[in-house]
Amino acid sequence: MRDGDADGFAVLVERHGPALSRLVTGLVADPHAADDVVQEIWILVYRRLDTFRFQAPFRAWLFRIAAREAVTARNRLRTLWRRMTSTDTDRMPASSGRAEAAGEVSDVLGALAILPTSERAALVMIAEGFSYAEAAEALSCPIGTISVRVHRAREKLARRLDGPSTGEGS
Amino acid sequence: MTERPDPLLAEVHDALARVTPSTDATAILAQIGGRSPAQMADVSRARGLRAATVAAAVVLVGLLFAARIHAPLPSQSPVAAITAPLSTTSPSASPPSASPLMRLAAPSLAAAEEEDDLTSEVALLSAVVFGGIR
Repeated sequence: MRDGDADGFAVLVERHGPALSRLVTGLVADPHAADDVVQEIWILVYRRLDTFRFQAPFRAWLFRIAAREAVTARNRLRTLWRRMTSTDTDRMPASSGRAEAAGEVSDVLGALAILPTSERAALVMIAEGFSYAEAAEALSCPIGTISVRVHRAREKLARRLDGPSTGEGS
Repeated sequence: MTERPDPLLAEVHDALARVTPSTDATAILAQIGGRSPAQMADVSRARGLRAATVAAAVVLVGLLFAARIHAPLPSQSPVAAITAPLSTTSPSASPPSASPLMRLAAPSLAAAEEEDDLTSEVALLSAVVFGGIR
């Protein structure tokens, strides 16, 4: 595989692709931009395969790269957004995502989009089934920080969606 | 991996799943183009080198033009070369060593030659740098 077996790489893409795409979409908050970022990440991963040491699960290695690249892409888009609108804010609407999604999906994406990147990244990783330790490693911060960010993100998301009761088991 | 008992997190997961485009392994493999990771790294390095070369060429051309702009002016301008003999000439004065036309032409010719040298140098550099990377 590390010698360039395209079929083997295709298997990796098929196996981890959907989860990686969801993660990137959540981090970038724009399905169209996420599509491009996902492709860039896979190409980057392919190029760096020879640096994979088999000391950690491939999935953890893959998502660490993905999280870093997606956050970078998100920041790039945010900078572009600021230049276009001359606003100094972390909030950037997920316009294309909201346009395509309907109803509750649109609400969730809209609420996700206005979260600070750090909080959104932590929340999306946990929502994707990562442990706090895995999220902390992927996002290069302590577990406690992840915990705080997820807590804050949940509160904001719940308030934005259905009021304080949402997410409390109702 | 952990369970996702939290309904809010489950809602986030489902929403993302619904809007996320399907992963197109074929498109990704097409971009890779059958190259090995090492070859991909070579391509990346080549792109970086090319970008650095172009940037260096642009800087060099800019420096050349800057040097051209800040080059010292001729000590006597063409206008002064024409007017000076006329204003100072008196019947008793000795004739000038060169005619006003020659005085006018001399600095202009020097400047033109200098400009030609710079222009050809820039053109040569551009041809080497930009032509060589195609």
